[in-house]
Amino acid sequence: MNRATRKIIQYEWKVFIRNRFQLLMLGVLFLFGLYAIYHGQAEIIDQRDTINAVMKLEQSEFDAYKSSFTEELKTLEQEQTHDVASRPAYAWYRHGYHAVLPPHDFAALAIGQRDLYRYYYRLTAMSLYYQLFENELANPGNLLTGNFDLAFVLVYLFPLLIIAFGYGLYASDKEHGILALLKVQATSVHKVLLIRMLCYFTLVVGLGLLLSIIGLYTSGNPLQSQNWLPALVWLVCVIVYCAFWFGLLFAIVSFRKSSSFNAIAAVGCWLLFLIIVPAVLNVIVTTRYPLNSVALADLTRRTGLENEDDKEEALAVINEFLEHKPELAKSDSALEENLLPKAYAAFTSLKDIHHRQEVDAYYEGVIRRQQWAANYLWLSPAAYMQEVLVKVVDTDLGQFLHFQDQLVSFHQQISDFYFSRLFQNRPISREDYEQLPVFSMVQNGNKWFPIFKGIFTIACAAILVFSIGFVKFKKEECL
Amino acid sequence: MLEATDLTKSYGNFTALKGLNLSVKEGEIFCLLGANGAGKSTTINLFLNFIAPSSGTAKIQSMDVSKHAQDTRQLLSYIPENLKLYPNLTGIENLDFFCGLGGRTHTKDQLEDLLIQSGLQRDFIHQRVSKYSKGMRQKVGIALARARDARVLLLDEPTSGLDPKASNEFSELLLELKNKGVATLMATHDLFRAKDTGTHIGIMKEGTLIEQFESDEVSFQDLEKLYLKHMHN
Amino acid sequence: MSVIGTIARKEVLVALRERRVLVLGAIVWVLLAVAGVTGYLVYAQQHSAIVQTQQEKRQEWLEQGDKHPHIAAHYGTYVFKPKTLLSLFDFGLDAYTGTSVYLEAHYQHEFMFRPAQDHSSLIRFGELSLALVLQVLVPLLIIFMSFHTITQERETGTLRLLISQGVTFQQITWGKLLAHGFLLLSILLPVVVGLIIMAFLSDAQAKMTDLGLRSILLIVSYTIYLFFFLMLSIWVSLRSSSGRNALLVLLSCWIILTVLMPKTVANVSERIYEIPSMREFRAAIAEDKAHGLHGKSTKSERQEKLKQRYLEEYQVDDVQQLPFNFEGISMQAGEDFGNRIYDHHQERLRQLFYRQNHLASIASLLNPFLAIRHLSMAMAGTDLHTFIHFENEVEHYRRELVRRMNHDMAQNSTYGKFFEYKAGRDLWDEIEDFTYQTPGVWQVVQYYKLELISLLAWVIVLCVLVYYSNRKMKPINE
Repeated sequence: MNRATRKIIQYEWKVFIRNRFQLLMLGVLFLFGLYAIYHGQAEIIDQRDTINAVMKLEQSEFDAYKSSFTEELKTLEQEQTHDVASRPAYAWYRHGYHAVLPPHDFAALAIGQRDLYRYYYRLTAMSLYYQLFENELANPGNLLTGNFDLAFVLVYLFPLLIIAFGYGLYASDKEHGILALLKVQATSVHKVLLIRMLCYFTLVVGLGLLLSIIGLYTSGNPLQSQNWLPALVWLVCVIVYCAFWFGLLFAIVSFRKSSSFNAIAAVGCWLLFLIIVPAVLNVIVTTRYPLNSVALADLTRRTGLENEDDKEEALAVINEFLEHKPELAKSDSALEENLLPKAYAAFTSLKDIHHRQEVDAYYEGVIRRQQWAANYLWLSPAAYMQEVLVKVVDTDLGQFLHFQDQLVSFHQQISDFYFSRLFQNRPISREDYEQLPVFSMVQNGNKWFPIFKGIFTIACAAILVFSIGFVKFKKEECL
Repeated sequence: MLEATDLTKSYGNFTALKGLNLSVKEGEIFCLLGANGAGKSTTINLFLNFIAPSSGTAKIQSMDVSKHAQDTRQLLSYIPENLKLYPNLTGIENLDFFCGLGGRTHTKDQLEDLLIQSGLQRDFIHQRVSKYSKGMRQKVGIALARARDARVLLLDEPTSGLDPKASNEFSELLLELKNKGVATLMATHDLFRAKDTGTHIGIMKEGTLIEQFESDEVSFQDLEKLYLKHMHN
Repeated sequence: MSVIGTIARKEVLVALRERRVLVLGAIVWVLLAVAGVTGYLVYAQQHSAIVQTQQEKRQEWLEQGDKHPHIAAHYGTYVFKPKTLLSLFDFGLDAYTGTSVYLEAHYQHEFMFRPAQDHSSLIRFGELSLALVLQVLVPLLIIFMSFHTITQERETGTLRLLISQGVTFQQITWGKLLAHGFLLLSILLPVVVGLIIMAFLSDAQAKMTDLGLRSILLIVSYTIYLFFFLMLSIWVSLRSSSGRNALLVLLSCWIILTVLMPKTVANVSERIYEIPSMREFRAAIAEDKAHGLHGKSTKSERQEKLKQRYLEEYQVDDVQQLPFNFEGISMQAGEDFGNRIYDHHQERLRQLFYRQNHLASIASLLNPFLAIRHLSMAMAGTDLHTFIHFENEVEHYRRELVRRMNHDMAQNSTYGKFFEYKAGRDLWDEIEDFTYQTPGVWQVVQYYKLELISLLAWVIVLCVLVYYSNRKMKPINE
């Protein structure tokens, strides 16, 4: 660092410290950042509490079943409980298992779609589609407004801070007539500008990293083996995203217009990237890939056999089901026991089998939308960054679709457990409770590739805008 | 026409103008001389009621300007040091606009005549003002004063920065207006122009009018000596 | 021509020559066009899908064949939230309220399928609608158009010249206001005309009451809202020493009003009034159904009491001797009890929503953006209150349907012989198809008094501010 550079930095610092408005902005943004971390964590703590509560409910439900095997059955209620615990004809539709998508340790920093999607399901062996589509309670107005999380502060507010610090860097010198003096000095004007920008870059990125580190440390331990990579990637995102906005501002300033023009252009870009491009992409996606959820609604209908007294109908349903599940088949005479429960079990399972295609087609539609939108995300580095951040902390749409996918196999596991006993007329024993179905989420294998691709794209955009600014400055300087 | 009585303007502890007494009658051109910050522009601004006096009164045609700001402004025309017009309007459009504000309407021909009489070249009348030189803009200012039939002309260093020819043309226009009975108060640095054009001359220093006389009373050399003497003390 | 008129005319002329207004206007036009067209496409798509499916469901109900009424009540039917015509103007909460609900005996299902769930997190940036353009982007257009309208005259010195002509600040400010209002109106005219044509020529009157009135109210409230921004811009321009300062102040205001404050208010309200999870909500209802409200009576106790009451009233010893099927009566009694419990819990939940929203309403007193957002949704029929009205109508329909089924069962079937009685098409026909009409606009607007006050108060406050600033203003800074 030569003496001139040191001088520039020293004086930029003096100017910065004396500008109360800028200091105030920095302070306010820091407080907003802290609030965002608090809000995100409160939201996630709520979700963890709910998860604990439902797991406790499940625990006590199964504890009651288990203890009904050993304790003396005195009251009618106790007998009923034991029936539910031991007889597959009752158990298959009453034993509920929770499939939970626990929040990532850092989910509080980018809540993403987590407030909109369900993160826990209670599943019985009944038709999956009776159970899949119920929503979590929420105030739709607040869903529309969205969450005030750290990702919002970084993606929306940091660019504004950068614009506020940088829009007048060259122009105000020109407007105050200092530029002529600067031009005749030994250090070139664009070098002075670059050094000053670098000062602000350090300051803004420093603030972003500080907030992120506070957020990361208070949400989970970033040094744990499963956390260090997300934490690191998050920090890299902060740097790359700020770099993009500084690069953009540099490009705008390089056109050497007035400070008002710079401010309008920069805010215009902000508007374009944060409001217009995403809003347009969203309506295009909606109209281009219409999704008709009303067709799926029908799957939730609690239909049953036409006539419960009609044995033939019941047998026909069971036999159709057994064609899909030959391993459950036994002799026809064995079907007589618990005929009606078997028929119902078969009926709801057939419903799942018949409609799987429709449901799959629907979710394929959702994925097609997501993919189409993902192809155009580069149009808005801000939206792209948001997508990357939610991916890092597993609160993106993909994670929830993946979760729903896993529900299908978990549901299958539950059905198999009960149906094998129901159709083979075996009671559920106390020992069976040691090998109940358990939900385990298989992580998506290629989580990191799209994230790195996103960061790389935004980094390229940063380099691109910076180069435009650099070339433009060089060219004018030669004149 | 123009009359200042004990006119004073202070900003906190600083007094920009101290008890000015001055009067300009019809057909007179009163030139205020003085260094930067002597109070010349303050005087003009007080007559325009752009600023309110701390004490004393400024009157135009016996009306106190701070009480009858709008009425007195109807009588006057003002040309600042660097007359700025709307750059995206043509000269004639600017003139039409400003005349319209005073409630006067002129035909297009009348406006063209006014501009030409004020010395603007015909080619420029319908060009946007952004292409005008400073002298051309000052000429539009004179045309405006004519169009408005202004009885009072307040000029704040109107010739500074003009080349001698433009400056000379400007003086001629002033004399023409003087002959029509217009009372003119002009702040200027230009001793020669003051002696040549003005009927009366005042020298200001640190907010006080320290000397005033008719321009015929002194020769140009005397004026210069007098002025420098005051400036050096 | 009056002085104000002269100033306004010059202002328009200069603005048109500067091209900036033309460029900004063109951008807004393009956005409005995209928003309008896609809004219409989405509306048309969803509307036809819903109408068609609703008809299918009706046919399914009618042609469900002969069956026991209680089974029919479980078979139930579906209701889909109709798109209001004005929802193409303001999508409001449509992406976040469910779209379909299953109507069944004993059990109140919640609305399923929030359209926003079919999107990636990109949806949280918002969708482009005419309302978004008018609420967020046009104010910015106004700021860009007007921030230097007076500072420029001040900075270049034309202001002094103007004042020296005997023009007052009032005349300058109002002239500029007139000019910019005119420019804005000409940019937005297509929207106004489009809305009016849509409201008075379309055949959607049946679905939405007061369509014409709603459109006019929308136009009026947006006019007031945009007028607020115009006044604000001009006032700030009047008070600022330079265009740069004016721009900085106005942009800060814009960010705080449209981005920062709405989010903060929503999230604070979410923290203060916490919504229970669905699991807790359902568990509490199930608990009360089993043990009575506040644990007063169990289900079997209640059934016994009901039985005794009927036995006494009809002077018989056994329910089988009653002139109707007691099962139908007890079924309906259970239904009524369940409804009471549900109403209790749902009311509590809604109170939480109302309180959260009330906080936003109070905040709207400070923020006209919140005010217009709420009012716009209300008038477009895409707000929470209209949705709750719809929910109530649906629940009312469900109860009526179940009640008719239980009644038929009590009248026509015999005790203990569940499968012997079958009702048919005649009974299904008795249940009218579900139709929905939005509530009258005044009925909805009454929830938004604070918002109305806010819009009007802000405009008045700014008028007063502009008036007083004008009186004190001098052309040069002392």
